[in-house]
Amino acid sequence: MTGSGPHAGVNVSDQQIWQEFKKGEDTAYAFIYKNHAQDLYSYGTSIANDSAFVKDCIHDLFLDLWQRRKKLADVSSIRLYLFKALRNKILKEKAKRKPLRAEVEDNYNFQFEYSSESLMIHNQFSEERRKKLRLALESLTQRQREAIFLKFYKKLSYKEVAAVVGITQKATYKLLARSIQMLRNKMISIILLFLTIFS
Amino acid sequence: MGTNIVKTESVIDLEGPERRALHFDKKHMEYSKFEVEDFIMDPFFQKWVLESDEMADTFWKAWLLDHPEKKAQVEEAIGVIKTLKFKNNKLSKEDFQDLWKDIIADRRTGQYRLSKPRIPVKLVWSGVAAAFLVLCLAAGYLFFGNPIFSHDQVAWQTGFGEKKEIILPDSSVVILNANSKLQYPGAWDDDQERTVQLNGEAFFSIIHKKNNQKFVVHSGDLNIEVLGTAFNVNNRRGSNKVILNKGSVRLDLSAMDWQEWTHQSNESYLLMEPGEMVVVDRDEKEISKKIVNPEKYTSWTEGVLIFDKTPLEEVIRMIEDNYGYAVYTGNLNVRELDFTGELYSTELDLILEYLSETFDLKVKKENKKIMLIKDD
Repeated sequence: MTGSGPHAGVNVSDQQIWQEFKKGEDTAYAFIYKNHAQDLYSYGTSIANDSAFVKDCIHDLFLDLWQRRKKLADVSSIRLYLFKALRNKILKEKAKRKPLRAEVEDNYNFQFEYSSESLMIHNQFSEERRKKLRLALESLTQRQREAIFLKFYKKLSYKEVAAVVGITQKATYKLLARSIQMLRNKMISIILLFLTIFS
Repeated sequence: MGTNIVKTESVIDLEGPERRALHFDKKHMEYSKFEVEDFIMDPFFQKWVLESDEMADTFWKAWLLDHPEKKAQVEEAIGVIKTLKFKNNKLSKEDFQDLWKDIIADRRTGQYRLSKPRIPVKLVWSGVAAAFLVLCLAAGYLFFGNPIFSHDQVAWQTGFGEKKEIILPDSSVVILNANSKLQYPGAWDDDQERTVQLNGEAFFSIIHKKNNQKFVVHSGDLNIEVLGTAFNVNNRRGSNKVILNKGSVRLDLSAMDWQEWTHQSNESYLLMEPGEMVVVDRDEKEISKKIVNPEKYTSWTEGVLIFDKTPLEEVIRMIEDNYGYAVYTGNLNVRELDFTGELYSTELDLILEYLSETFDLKVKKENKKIMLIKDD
């Protein structure tokens, strides 16, 4: 016994945190928020481009977690569980207020950034080309954008993406492949600009 | 803690070490047939581009030296993957903190921002809690002697540790606490008094009728008449406790020998205002009224137990009444120890754990008996 608290070690497993949280342990609750709030927010805003709305969803998600903590099933990955739960909440709430938010929905402002290595290229991008890329990304369905976000931004495995989005692994692979193909067709001229990255 | 921590593998299997090993032999061949899309979709390739994994880096650099003809495709694939980085929307430090503060503040009150989960309409509870375990059993006897399960009567009995939400024929709502019984007719005529009989503890949220139809709870020999909308009754151990959250109720003492009791008024009626608690203490033969925080007494309906300098004796009584255990305390001075805190659970084991931590007690639980022993 070292006398250190349960969260002092780096190697506390998700299951352990989850168990303590289910027992009503405040520190575990805070730990979960601290470790996942940012991720949830960036994932949330990839599905719904409305910061206040996503924050409300995260707020309610954490309230739900607390109120239902005793009934929650065990999880192997807290992050995946939260992603899935947030996704359900956002889609449910969006469906409810569809008439109100239709505008936001249609004018989805697809956002992306350039990694630091490609910043140089970024600067070379003309406004027109950037617009083209954005249009290409915008032409994807919400589901395609989401899958791409989880796969390439959050670096989830196919299996994990499948679990969050709620489709089979095979369907996930297909969904992503189709999205990539669509993007590539539209972006081909832009992509050529990246040829200098690797040299 | 910390000694038997098990680090768990994430759920990945496709991209586990086995697959990585594959890439060094079998896959090595396949990659030469890859097109741009195939590279983009390949997890091992993604790993290289996105995570600068050392192993992947070594592999791909070597592979490219062997396959210079694939350089263009590989570069394009890298370009696509890198372009696919979304804008990383981040919570500002303030937003991160504020959101957390709100969560903490709202979690207990259940103040949802978008939509509340299935929790029913916020009802105003007024509670009369009159409880005594022994008396409850005695009363149960009486009930069984009478035709309480006749065709026009409905009776609900909760077991230990059980809680039940009941909707009465007039749509009023009752939440029956553990080890309690509620009985009422299958229907009430409009010109008839609405009456129910309670043994144990319950929260009532009563619908007000346009014709001012009376609602009366018979709780032992105390009758509680509802004038307002909602109230909470508890009768256990020969005492009655009525806590009023909202509306107004009138206590009818006429069926009791109240004249011989210590009582601040000499009326056979007692009117209650919201936020008041009336205790009818059979042992002391005393009727007293005081101002309380009703939430403290009604939080159990939402699965929360609030203790505010609550004597250990009272906590123990609650455990015995609601969970059906006999609690032995040895030479523990249960009257002098008190307990403050909020417990977001009504699970007995958690309550015991909480007690054990607070008072340094060893807890033994077996055969419907609980022993609390001072840990020396």
